[in-house]
Amino acid sequence: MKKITCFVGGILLLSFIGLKVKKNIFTYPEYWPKPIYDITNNPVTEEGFQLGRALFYDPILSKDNTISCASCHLQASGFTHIDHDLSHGIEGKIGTRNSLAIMNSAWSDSFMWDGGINHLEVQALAPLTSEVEMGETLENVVRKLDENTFYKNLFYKAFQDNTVTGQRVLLGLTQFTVMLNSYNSKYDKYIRKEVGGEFTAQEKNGLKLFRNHCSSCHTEPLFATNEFKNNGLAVDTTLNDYGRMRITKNSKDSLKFKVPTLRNIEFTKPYMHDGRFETLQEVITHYTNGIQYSKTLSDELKNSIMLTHREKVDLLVFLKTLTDKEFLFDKRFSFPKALLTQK
Amino acid sequence: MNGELKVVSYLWLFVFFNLQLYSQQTSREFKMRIEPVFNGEKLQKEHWYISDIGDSIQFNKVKFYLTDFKFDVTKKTHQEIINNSFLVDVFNENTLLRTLKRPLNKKDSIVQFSLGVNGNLSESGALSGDLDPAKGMYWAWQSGYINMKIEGISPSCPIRKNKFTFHIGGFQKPYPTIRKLNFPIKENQKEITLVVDIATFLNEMDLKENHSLMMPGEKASKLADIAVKMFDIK
Repeated sequence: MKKITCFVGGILLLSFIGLKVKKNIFTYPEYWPKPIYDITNNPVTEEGFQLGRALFYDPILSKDNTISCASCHLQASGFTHIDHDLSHGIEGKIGTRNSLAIMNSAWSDSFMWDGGINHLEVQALAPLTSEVEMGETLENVVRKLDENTFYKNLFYKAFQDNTVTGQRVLLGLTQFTVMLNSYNSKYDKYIRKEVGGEFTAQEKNGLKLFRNHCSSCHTEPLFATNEFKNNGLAVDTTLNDYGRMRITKNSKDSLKFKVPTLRNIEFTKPYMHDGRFETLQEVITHYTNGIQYSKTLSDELKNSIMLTHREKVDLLVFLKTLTDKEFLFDKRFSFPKALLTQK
Repeated sequence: MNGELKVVSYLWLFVFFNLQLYSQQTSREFKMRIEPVFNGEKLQKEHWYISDIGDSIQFNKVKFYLTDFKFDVTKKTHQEIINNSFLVDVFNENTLLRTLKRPLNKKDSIVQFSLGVNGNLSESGALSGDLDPAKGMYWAWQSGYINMKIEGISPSCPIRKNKFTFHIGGFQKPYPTIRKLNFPIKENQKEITLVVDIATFLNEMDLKENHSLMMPGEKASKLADIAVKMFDIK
């Protein structure tokens, strides 16, 4: 009898623990490197993810309630601002850089083109407080959300307490953005030898060319590195943006910018930190014929990259295998309809 | 079975109360009062002061972080106080009295703390309490804590609305801006009054030339050297 009582008690206890401990839903392919972001400090729960999703799509984060994170980071274009070389914020103000695509953020150790942000959780502070983006303060966002019953409810679900704090706003946003991971492109299926991942001869040749000429900076499987490189772009004299040097004040970092991911590159146009190239053909032509020499030019680009016209086409065809439509059209990441009925 | 349960319960209670008792015996409350002044006169918001250089000055914001409190730092067994990052707003009385746990010590000792937030915390993402970025003391770009803000107006400032704005921060080498402070404390001392004389800072600023700083770097490091001189005990 005692044994039965203990067994039932144990089951009840486990059920209770199961109810209390929420499941971490952050996952990634087992063959990928370990994320840099320590997910154990902010485990992604369904409730936290939904809070972050609402915040990401809600213009309440901006000073005049007109601009949301999604305004410059659209899902269908790999969470970047398609067709805008420089992003615009409240009151039509124009920024000085092309918005970066948001994906696989847990593998980055710094953020923005110049790496001026040192941690994923505080990344959102920059656009939120920038005068040419959202022009708001975190303190005011906390106040606005604290007066909103829809959000009070979401905070309660995410943190078991409806108190809105700056930390919780940032952790919620992080729980959404850290889930924006792309690993189901044709390339990924090719690597995993899955159905739908059969490469043509042209794609295979493109991959070979990529590995010979591009992968030292755009390293697989993330197609990015946490490095800053001068990729031979001439300075745009209307912007005079010297990149990483702005942060380090070191002339050795002049004209160096973050190496962005090439995943979903087909849809993340325009390209480069100032959005100067509209097409991938222009980008490839820059690397073969347009490199501007300067003291800080990346070593990888000091010897010319020679590609025939056919090789350029093959490379381009390969780059398109990095498109991940499951990611670009994943409904979990789209505008949450609950936002429409919240007020 | 019931008997065993009772014994275990009593044991737990015994351990719990002894731990509480031990904790009380090994430490005691130590209060730090913060007294903001301008040349010895109580600092008031939007009140006119005159610096040694002759500038007329009003303050509307003076905030700073005091962190990393430690006692008995000369001994290897020094005690660090956990969760001891305090944001002081000199115009908010609630932030001017802080209570710490001082380890029991039968000798005179010192209390050590930092003016500013260390690099480790500045690189730790979104934190809570006084370190919550919503407190307005965190730089979005070149991310990291602003260790101190001194803002106000002076007719000497040749800019819009005659404002001066000093935001001192930055943790990266070669220009870290965190500064350590040490003060002696007596064996039975239970309280310390930390006088913060803002005049010390403004007396070294020529506001005609030097009225604004809002980024890390060499200048911030130099201003941190001046700022730390504002602190003394009474």
